Amino acid sequence: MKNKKVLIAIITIIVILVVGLVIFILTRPEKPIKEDYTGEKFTLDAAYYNKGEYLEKDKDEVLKLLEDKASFLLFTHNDYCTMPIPSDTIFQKTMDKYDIDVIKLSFAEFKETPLYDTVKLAPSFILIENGEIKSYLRADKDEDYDRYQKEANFESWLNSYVNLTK
Amino acid sequence: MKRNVISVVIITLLVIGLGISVFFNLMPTETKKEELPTLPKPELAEGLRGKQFGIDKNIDETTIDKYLNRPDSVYRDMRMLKDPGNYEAIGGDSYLSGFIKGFEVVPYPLLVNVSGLPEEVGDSYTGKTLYTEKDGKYTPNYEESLSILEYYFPKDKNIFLICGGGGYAGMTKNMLISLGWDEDKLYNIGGYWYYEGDNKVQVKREKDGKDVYDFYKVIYHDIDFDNLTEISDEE
Repeated sequence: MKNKKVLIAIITIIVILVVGLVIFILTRPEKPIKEDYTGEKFTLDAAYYNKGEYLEKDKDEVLKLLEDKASFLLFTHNDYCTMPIPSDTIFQKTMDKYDIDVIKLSFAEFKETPLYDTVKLAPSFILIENGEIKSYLRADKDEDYDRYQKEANFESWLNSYVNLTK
Repeated sequence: MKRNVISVVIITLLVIGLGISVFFNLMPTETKKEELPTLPKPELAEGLRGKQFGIDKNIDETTIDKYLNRPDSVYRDMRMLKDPGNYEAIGGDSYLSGFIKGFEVVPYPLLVNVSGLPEEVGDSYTGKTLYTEKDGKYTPNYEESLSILEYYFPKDKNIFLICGGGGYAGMTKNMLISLGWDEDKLYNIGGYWYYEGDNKVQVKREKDGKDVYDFYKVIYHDIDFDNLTEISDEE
């Protein structure tokens, strides 16, 4: 009788452990997303918490924003013989989710802004706080590759720097 | 006395002749060739540039100036002079606005059908091409297709490829590797858009408030498809 109780207890513990293990395996994240910034987040200018759209601007408009010490997000893209990189659609999903507008500037125009002193390659997604670059995605860095290609990685990176809601 | 003078003259001439002979034999027959620096083996750049476009890590827009004018290499720019795609729709320029000195233009859209461009751009060139690509397989459309490729991209040379952003150059590299070229001789050095070296040749300029293009500066390789022998589907 006593042995039977011990046996039942052991089986119960094993079942609990197995169930726990299965739940853990099924619910664990596929791959931990690296957040490389743990400092204080910044808030965009209120106008950019809006519709989740790309706003086409020219270099003069962007220069004015920099001069006015605005806080905004900027996507600069390359053109001509490039293959379509789905990065703008990846970014769009996060923009839609939080209704955040992003300024879009062609790389040709971008090269005529002081931002080009820092960001030499397109496409790039640039975070600008008070007219200064806070961070940006680099097309020549492995650590940024998933941020260009995977919605969750991009959102995580953006969320580590920017308050995604007002 | 006369015989002695003749002997001295003959001996003197012989000595001079010998001296000249020794001098010229010791001289190299041609000016010593300057040793070419060894090229780094092709290696993909990090991130999007390497993974998406196949742009090289060591020889790119920032370093190509060191590798120009090599007799063991050819330099090819894969853009069209005026691409029919509406690149203005994505803020770009459909015209070839400049190039790096030494690069000759062999437009990628004449080599093979272009697919996968952004929707806004629409169709690029849709005319005749040397090859048709489907599911990564390249099928020649003309009997001369391979010979033309081998002429533009000699297999015994290093081949440096560039375009506007690195895309056409990457596609060309993939095509050549697929058709049997040695990938250790193929370098996608990226895009002219990112070049800031000392060998820029400006094609685009402004005249009376309008953009004009000095295409006469470009060494451009056209393909006269009407003179080629088409491979029919039945063959």
